[in-house]
Amino acid sequence: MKLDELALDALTELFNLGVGQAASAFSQIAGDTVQLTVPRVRIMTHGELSHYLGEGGTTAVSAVRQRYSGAINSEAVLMFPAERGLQLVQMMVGGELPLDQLAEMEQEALSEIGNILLNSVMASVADALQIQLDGSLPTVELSHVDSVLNGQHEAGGAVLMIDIQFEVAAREVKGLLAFLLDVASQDALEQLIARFVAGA
Amino acid sequence: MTLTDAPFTDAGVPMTEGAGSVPWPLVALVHLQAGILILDAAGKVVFVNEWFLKRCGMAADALVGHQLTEVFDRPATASFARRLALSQKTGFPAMLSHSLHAPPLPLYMPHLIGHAAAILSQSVHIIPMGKWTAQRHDQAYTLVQVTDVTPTVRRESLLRTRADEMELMARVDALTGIGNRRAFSESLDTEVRAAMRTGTPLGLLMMDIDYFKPYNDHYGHPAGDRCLREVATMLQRVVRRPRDRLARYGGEEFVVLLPGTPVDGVLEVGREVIEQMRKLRLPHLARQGGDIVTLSVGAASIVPKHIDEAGTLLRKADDALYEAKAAGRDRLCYAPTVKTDPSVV
Amino acid sequence: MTHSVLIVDDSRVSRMMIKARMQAVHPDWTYLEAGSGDEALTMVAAGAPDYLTMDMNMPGLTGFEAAEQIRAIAPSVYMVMLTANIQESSRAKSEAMNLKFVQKPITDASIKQVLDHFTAAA
Repeated sequence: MKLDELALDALTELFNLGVGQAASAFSQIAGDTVQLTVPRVRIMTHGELSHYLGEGGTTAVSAVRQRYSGAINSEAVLMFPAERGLQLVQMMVGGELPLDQLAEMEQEALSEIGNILLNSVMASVADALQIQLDGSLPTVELSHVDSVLNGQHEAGGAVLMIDIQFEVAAREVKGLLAFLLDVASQDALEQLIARFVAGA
Repeated sequence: MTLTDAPFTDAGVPMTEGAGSVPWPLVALVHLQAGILILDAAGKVVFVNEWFLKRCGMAADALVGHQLTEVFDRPATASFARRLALSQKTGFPAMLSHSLHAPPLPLYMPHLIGHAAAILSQSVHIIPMGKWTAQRHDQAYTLVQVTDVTPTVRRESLLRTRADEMELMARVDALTGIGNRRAFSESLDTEVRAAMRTGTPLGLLMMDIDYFKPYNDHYGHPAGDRCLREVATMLQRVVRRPRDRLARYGGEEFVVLLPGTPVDGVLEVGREVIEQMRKLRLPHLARQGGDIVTLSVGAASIVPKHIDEAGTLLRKADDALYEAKAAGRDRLCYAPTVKTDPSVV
Repeated sequence: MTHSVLIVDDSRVSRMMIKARMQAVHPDWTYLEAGSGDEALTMVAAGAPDYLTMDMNMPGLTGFEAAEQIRAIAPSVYMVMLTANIQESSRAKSEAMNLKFVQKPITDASIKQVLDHFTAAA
């Protein structure tokens, strides 16, 4: 996918907007300020993704996945290295319960965390680009990075990758947000962003 | 409600297709073991199923036509209201997990409506019914699905308690009630790391009951067990500082880890242990060199620079214990000159 | 009467959008841009604008830090925080610093709010 500097800037702003909304929702759950930082959006081809994952491809992760369809079709995934997912839930729940006691709550809680974040980002993008999207309910997967991301994808498709950091009460958890787009959606997104930037 | 294909007049506004009858499979909603609500674009209840009505203790006509977030005496939570509003705005489905929220809706066990202790743990899904409903009807409707996860939560709680108990059992010596070897290994690791960080000495005493096998052979195993318990009890009296770690290391072997304790402190504790063991005056006629149960004790203390030195500490104490045995038992030995490399003897 | 506005945001697209919408209402005003808190400080030191919009989350100096420092050197500049960061803690901090706060996204409506704050200050 080709996005010039301005288009990438615009996409980053939209992601930041969405992430800001999500941070507010998380703060309400945690009862404490949750900061979310999104340094930048990277675009990769699926080939580059496999290469990028090459070293980390077998890392065990907790992943939350949702599909979006409409003007753009995308598979959106929020991933944490396995034990970090638990830590994040612990941070949200108020941190007194030991990690192993949280294990049973983890899946459902992570499901909700992923749902909030992915929806906030996609709503921000859809709003700004003036398109309508349908979203699915979240599913949780506890497996490895390469199986989560390489499950189903089209050669030539693109991946938008965002490193994301959650910070609650001076504790941090880093995760990854990935949006997988097929070729048609990639083209559609390029055009929509170009239109958005031109309108600015 | 009978299984006819009449519309749902007693469960809310009839959802009719064509002239006045509903496809009979929808009757399944009456029997569904989960709560189903359908809200209109303004958040007013348009349909509510039996399961839900039974657990909020209200009749359909008290709910239908009213704002879900305002109709209850104990109102729906603010989180629920916010999440519903957001879902209606974005058109994306949302969920409230039981672990991150207080119960969103006032649902109780059917015979205990209103009792705070009987409120159901809930998993709530908010599902916009999409463009399909907006096209066929005049507006977009939202489905709210509620699952009672109280049994799950209860089970999780039970499992957790059992897990805690098993955890405890795995670290406790069943016979004496003090820590077992596994607990000790973990403590050793922790304390070596702490000593590394703080640059403080870590002391160790290794204690072995003298002539224990002959004791068992002569007095029998139950007596042997009693003896072990007595020794453990005595050691618990002597080893009193909060950070000290006492454990049964083997059949007749005990260890105690003494954080922040240099050699002279370790020797002081070691001497006390020997003294107190003698004072117990447990008869032992099947031994040489005495007629009571005594201990041989090896002492060591190091300031570790590397985690591998846990092994060094153990070896030093063990070698000192060996010296104590070789020198005649019922004594304390400290062997500073013991070589740390086991291959060099 | 013409005024000058300094738009501070690390996103070029955001600056473009803010400027475009403000220009639509006030085509005669002068518009300046800064991509960071530091750059904004430099520009204000060289010549204070009448009005200023500030994003909160920027690399380097945060919006609050920059706002504080600008106030110290040019107290007459009227500032509005225009930002995606909508948390209670941020709002409270804005209030404590007596700074107006408008939430992104950048739309005609949100820009109108910003402009209303500016003109109310006059």
